[in-house]
Amino acid sequence: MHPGVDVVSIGLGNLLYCLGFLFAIFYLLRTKHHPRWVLYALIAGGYAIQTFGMYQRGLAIGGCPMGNTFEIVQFVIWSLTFCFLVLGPAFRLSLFGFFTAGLAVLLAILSFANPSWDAPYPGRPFGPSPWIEFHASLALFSYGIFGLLAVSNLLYLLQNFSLEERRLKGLYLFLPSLVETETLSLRMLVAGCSVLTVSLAVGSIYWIQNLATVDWLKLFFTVSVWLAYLLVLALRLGNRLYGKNLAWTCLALFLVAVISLWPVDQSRAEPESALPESSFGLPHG
Amino acid sequence: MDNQTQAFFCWGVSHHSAPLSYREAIAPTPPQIKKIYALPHRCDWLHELTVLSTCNRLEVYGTGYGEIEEVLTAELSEILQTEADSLREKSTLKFGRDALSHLFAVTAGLDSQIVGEVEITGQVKKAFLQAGKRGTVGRKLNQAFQKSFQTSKWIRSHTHIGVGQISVATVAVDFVLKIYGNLGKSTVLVIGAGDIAEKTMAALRSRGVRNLILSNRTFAHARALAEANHGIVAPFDSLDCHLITQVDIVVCSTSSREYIFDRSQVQQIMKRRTIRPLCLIDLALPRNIEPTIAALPNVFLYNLDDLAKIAQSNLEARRNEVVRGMDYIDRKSLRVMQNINRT
Repeated sequence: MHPGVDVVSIGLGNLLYCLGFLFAIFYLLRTKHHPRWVLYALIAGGYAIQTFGMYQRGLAIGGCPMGNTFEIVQFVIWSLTFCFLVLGPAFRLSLFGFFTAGLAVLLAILSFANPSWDAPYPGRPFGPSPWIEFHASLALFSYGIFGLLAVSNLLYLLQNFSLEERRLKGLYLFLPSLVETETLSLRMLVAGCSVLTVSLAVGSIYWIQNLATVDWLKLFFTVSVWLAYLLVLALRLGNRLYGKNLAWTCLALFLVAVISLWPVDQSRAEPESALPESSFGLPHG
Repeated sequence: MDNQTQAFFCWGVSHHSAPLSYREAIAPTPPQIKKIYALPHRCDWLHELTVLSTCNRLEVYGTGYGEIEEVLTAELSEILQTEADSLREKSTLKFGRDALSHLFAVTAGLDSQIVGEVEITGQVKKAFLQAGKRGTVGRKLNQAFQKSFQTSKWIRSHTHIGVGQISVATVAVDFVLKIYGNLGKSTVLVIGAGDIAEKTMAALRSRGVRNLILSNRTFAHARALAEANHGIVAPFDSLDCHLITQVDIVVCSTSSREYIFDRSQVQQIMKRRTIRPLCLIDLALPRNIEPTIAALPNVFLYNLDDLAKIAQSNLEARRNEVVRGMDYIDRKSLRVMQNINRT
C-alpha cells in the first residue's frame, strides 16, 4: 500500500469528478440543463489534483505509476479526463462532460473498491528502460482515448434511440446530433489507434532485443486489442461499419479492453517480481 | 372605485373573452391607436396608458381615478367605432394586483393562445416603448412593465414554458437538427407544395439550410416556391435515385394517392449513399412514403401523425408549466404591487 499524500490527492481528484457528475445530475433533473463551465471546472480541478497525486506516487516509486491495477485504472481515468479537457471545448458536444465524468466516476469506484488492486510491488514497475515506460504510458493513454470514444458512442446510441422512438423530452432533448457525434468518434478512433500503434512500435523495439523476457499472454491481449481497433477503423473508413453497429462495437471493445487489464496485470505480477526488468510494458505489452 | 385613489388597471379584449371575428372588427388602426394614446392628455381621470394590440388581444394598461370601466368603455367604443354594450360584454377589467398579475402572465406568454410563445414579450416591449415615446408612461406603469420583463425572464429560465416545439413544422426541424446538428451543409428536397411543407421549408431555412431543391407536379408552382425560398427546381419526372442520393432531408407533401418512395427504392438509395443518414419527413395524407422504410438502418422517417403527437404533447407540457409560472407571478405581484402603491 502507498498511504499518504498520493492516495489522498488521487482520491480527492476522483471526488471532484464525482461532484461534477452529481452536480450535472442534480441540474439535469431540476432544470433540464447544467452550466457546462461548472462541470468543466470541476473536472479540470479534479484533473489537477489527480495529476499531483500521481506525480507524488511517481516520485515514490521512481517511475511512471502504472505498476498495479489501481495505478493502471487511475492512469486510464487521467488520460480520459485529459482528452476531455482538450477535446471538450473544441467539439462542445452537449452532455459529453456529463458522461465523461460518469465513466471516470465508475472507474474510480472500481479502483478504490478493491484495495487489493493497490498492492505494493518491488522497485520500478518497468525497470530502468525509459522506452518501456514510454511505451506503457502511451498504451494506457490510448485507453483513455478509447474510453472517450466509448462515451461518444454511448451518446450516439442514446440519440439514435431517441430518434427511433420519437423521444424528444428529458435527457434526450440535450443529446448532441448523430452526425456531430459520429465525426468526433471517427477522430478519436483515428487518434486512439495512432497512439496505440506508436506505443506498440516503441515496445516492439525492446521486445525484439529481449525476446526471452516477453510475457506472451500480455502480448497476445495487447496485439488483439490493437488489431481489433485497427479493424474497426478500417471498416469505418471503408464505410462498412458505421452508425449503430459501429457504436455498439466500440462500446463492447472498450469493455473487453478494460476487463482484460485486470487478468493481464495479475499474470504479470509474479514473473515481474522475479524479473523486474523484463516487462514488455503495460497494459498488455 | 374610490375617487381619491389612483388605480392601476388593465382593460382588455382577448382570445379568452371574444371570438376572432370580434377581435378582427375592433383591431385598432394606427390612427385609432393614436387617439387612444391621446386619452390621458384630454381626460383628467386617466394618468398613464399603454396600448397592447396583437392578433389575439387588445389591452389597455393604465392608472386612473373614478369609474374607469364606464368612461373608458365609452371612450374606446367611440374610437373603435363599435357598440359600447358589446364592448363591455366582451371585455374584462382588472384592477391592482389582478391587473399586474395579468400583465406578468401576458408578457411571459402564459396567457397566450399558443402557451409559451416568445413573440408576445417583444410585442409588450414594443407597446411600452411606444407609450414612452407618446409620453403616457409614468412611474407606476414604468415599474409595472419593467417588473413584467424581469418576471418573464425568470419564468422562461426557471420553468419549461418554452421547451419543446408545438407546431408540426418546428417539431420536424427538431428531428432534423438531432440528426445533422449544423444544417448549413445539408441539402433539402421538398416534394409538393402544401401549407405545412411551406412552413417546414421556412423553419428549415431559419435554422441555416441553404441548399433547397423543390419539386412539384405543377412546375410553375415549384418555381414560384423556389424563387420565394432561394431554392432550385427539380422537374417532378426527374426525381430519380441519383438525385435523392445527393440530399440529406426529404420533405414530402403531395396529394398523390400512391407512395412516391417505396422500401426497395430507398434501399437502393441507401446503398449508393455513403454513411450519411437520410431523414424523410412525410407530411402528406395519404402518406407518400412507405412506412416500413423506417426500419431501414440509418433512415429516419417521420410522418404527420408522429410530429402532431409530439407537438400536442409539448403543448400539454407547456400548459402544465403555466401553474408553476402563475405561482411565481402570485408571489411576485404582491411585492411589486406594494411598491407601486408606495410610488
